[in-house]
Amino acid sequence: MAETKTTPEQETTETKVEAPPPADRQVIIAPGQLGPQEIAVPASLPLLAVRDTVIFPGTVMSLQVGRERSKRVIDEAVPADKMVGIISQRDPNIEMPGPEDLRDVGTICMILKVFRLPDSNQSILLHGLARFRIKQILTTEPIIRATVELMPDVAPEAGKETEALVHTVRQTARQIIEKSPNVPDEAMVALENVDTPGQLADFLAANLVTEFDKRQQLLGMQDVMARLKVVESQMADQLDVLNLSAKIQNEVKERIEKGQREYFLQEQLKAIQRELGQEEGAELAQLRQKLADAKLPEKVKAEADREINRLAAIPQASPEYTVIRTYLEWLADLPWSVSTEDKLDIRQAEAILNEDHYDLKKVKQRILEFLAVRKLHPEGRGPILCFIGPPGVGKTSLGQSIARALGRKFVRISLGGIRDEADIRGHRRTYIGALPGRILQEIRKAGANNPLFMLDEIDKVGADFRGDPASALLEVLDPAQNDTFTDHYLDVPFDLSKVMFIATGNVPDPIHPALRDRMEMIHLPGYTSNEKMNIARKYLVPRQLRENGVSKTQCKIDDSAIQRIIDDYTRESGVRNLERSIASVCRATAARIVRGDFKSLTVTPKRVEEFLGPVKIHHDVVDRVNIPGVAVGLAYTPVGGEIIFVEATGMPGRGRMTLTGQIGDVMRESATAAFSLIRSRADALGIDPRKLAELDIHVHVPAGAVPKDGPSAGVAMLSALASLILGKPIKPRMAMTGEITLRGLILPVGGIKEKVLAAKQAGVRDIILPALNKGDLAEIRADDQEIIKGVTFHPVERFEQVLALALGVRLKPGHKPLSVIADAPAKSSGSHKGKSHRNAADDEEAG
Amino acid sequence: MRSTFVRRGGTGRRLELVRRHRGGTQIDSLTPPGRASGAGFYRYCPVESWQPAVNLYESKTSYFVCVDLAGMDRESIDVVLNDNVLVISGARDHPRPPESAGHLSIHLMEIDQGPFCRSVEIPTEVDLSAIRATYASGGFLWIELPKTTD
Repeated sequence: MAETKTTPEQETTETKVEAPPPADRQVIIAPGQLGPQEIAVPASLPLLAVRDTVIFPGTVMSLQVGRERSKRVIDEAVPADKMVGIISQRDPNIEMPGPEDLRDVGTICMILKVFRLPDSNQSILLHGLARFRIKQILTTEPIIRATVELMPDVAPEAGKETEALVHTVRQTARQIIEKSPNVPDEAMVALENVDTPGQLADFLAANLVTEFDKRQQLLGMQDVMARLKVVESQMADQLDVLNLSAKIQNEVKERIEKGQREYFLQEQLKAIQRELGQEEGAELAQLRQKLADAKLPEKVKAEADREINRLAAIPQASPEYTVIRTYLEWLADLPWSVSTEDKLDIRQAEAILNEDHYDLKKVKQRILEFLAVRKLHPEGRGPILCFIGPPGVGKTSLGQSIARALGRKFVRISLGGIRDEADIRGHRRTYIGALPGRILQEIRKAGANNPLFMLDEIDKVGADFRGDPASALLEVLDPAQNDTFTDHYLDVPFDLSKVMFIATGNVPDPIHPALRDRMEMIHLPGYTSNEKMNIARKYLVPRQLRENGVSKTQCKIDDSAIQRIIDDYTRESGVRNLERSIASVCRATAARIVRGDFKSLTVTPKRVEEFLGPVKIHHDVVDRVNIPGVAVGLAYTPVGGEIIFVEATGMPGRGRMTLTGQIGDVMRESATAAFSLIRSRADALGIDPRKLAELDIHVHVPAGAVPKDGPSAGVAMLSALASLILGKPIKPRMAMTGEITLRGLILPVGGIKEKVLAAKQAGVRDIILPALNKGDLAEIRADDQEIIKGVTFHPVERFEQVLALALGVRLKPGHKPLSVIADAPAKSSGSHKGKSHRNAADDEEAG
Repeated sequence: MRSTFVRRGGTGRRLELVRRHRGGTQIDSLTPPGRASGAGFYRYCPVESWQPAVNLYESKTSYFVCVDLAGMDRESIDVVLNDNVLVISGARDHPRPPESAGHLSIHLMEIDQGPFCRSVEIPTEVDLSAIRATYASGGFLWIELPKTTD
């Protein structure tokens, strides 16, 4: 604050308070409110040693005075001119510092006030006036007194550099004050009012420089410019720190604000929900109510209670919340105790079944039996039926009509292509998006625990690394254990025993054996043309007329026309193509009527040809089999019966046999068996065995691209080979089926009805079939006389009979298999070669 | 009482500063220098380190200013009217016990002493020539400032 350069001319006379000082006094000039003022300073001063404290000129500071010597300094100074020299100790730990322990530079201060502190210490309020340097120590005891030399500021040259520095310092100081918390407004005012650079530097040093060494250094600097620079750099550091801390604080604040905002919004949301009656509690209560209404079994109820208590304890925002809620909703939605009442009126059920489906007596009878049993024993388990039959025979729609007849809900899932066990039994709840398996999903959809559950395409269930759905189905379909069916998702058992399961499939073979074992197989053979006729008349034509918007009076389809469609345009076991063809006819009719060609139309066979194009199916294929080595076999495929041709041809070689046509192992073996049989009986057939040894035979079964298998082509193989070797064509329009053994026995085969139907459609007149299949034949006869009309059946027991029927060949009597030497007594005259292992029946010869 | 020491003039500098400083008492400075927290603040202080307390009254015709200024010589009080601001300045030595007391220990020294300067803003124009100041023995300086009549 002292400005040595101030000249007496600058002072106004009225501000002069004191007379010119005596010679032994020095004068400092301090800023007053009304202008600079001269203050006289005695040549010698009592020194007050302080610890780590620097008082800058122009500032007011309080100081605690504890040391006895310091108190004496005050006692000495106050009665005089109240001036003391405040000077720091070099080492703050010294209790009684001597002159050598003091620093060189201190501040001349005016004692403004003396206070007493509660702890009996004194506190003095000091006003810094000017810098000084110790000149000479006068006394050290009882107090240190010294002569001092004033250290006036070296004022900077007025110039741009000074101005710029002052400006920068002020700017920085302003920023610091703005950014520092808890700095009084006063600071800013003071900053604006301190105008000489030296005072500014001291004021800022006092307030903004905190480090003691730096303060002491600043006190020692007379050069105002240098002082300003130090202060500036100190402030720059401080500003950085402040900026950083402000940034951190801002971030913290923002985070807190964000949190608060979210909390606030959450609370608002809750308030809104409460207003809407959707309070969290309300939701839980709703769920509890739903669970209570569901009348859960004891075990399930315990689980549900546990979960709902967990739900109540976790916040709504938690992902777990949704998982548990979904789970509980599933529990509540499942029909644990909801059942539909069965309609147990057998007559009515029968009427419904007959209304929906033609024929299918076996199935209908089974359903009615079930009803009867249910009536007598209401607690019985649901049967598990499996409808096996070609496509289009109405397996699925039969299921629907059974459901209707029983008054049960109908649900179905298609198992075709399912290859994941989880599809049946669900995923564990721990997986994201886990759901129960299809079984329980459908049960929930049905809304009753005793629906009719249809498992379509059970023969097409796949399996891969994700598990075997068929094995999962075992549990579902076992009446002994499906009352505790446990879905992975629910993790509690659900009673499926009241469900009536009906599976469907085209062929029984691919079905898992264990699964097949659990189900009651009901075969739905293909329809005969007579049946198709009835179905068409009763169901298909009316339905298609209705769907195509043609009335009965506008379009009449003759029976002969339907017959034509059945015979010449479709070849199938079911009635899908038939229905499609009828639909085509109806559409064509509709077109004609709309065009105005006709008002009404009667569809005749001729019109059918017009509408559907040229005849698609030719029946005379069998006629073309007129060369040796070709036989007609009968096959049973997933889509119904079929006729197959077995072709054999020979060439010079070494008695080898080649088999082609994508035939499976079983069929290959039966071909080999047939050939061996012929070779073993070569003598009896009048063939030179040596010639056979020089013959290579090739057997082919077209169509070559379709895989075929099964033993039932054995008889056809035998006939084809015999026909080739003997050079005799097989009797025309004859088809055959049956398995052969090496002993020449003909064993029964399956799918007789389908085979017969196919054969008849292909124009076959004679059918050779195993005698042991007579039962099937009788059944067919009983079912439908129509099928066997025009066909002659030839039940056979042995291969000799086959050869006789097909080729008209009779074996030479007495010829036995080459290895057989002895023979049992038989009616055959030629049994002369000793013992035979064959029994009497084996000996019987075809006649 | 005479009013000879009432004069017009003075530089009027830092009046602003002084007024603002009035709010802060010096006791504030007693707070330990806890600078790190930014809690404390070292006042910048000119030579005049204290301000006497003032009462200001207004009557129909005059303003009355009363300054608490005990223990002063009349001659060492300066009163200046600078525009509308009345500035009272001077210096007061601390009161002393009689010389005969001998050596003294200082336990308390709370009475303001040293140079002081106090400015008071007078709300309206006053008649400069009619200002009167009296310093009675009670220790109060009374200044009457009659309002301009026109």
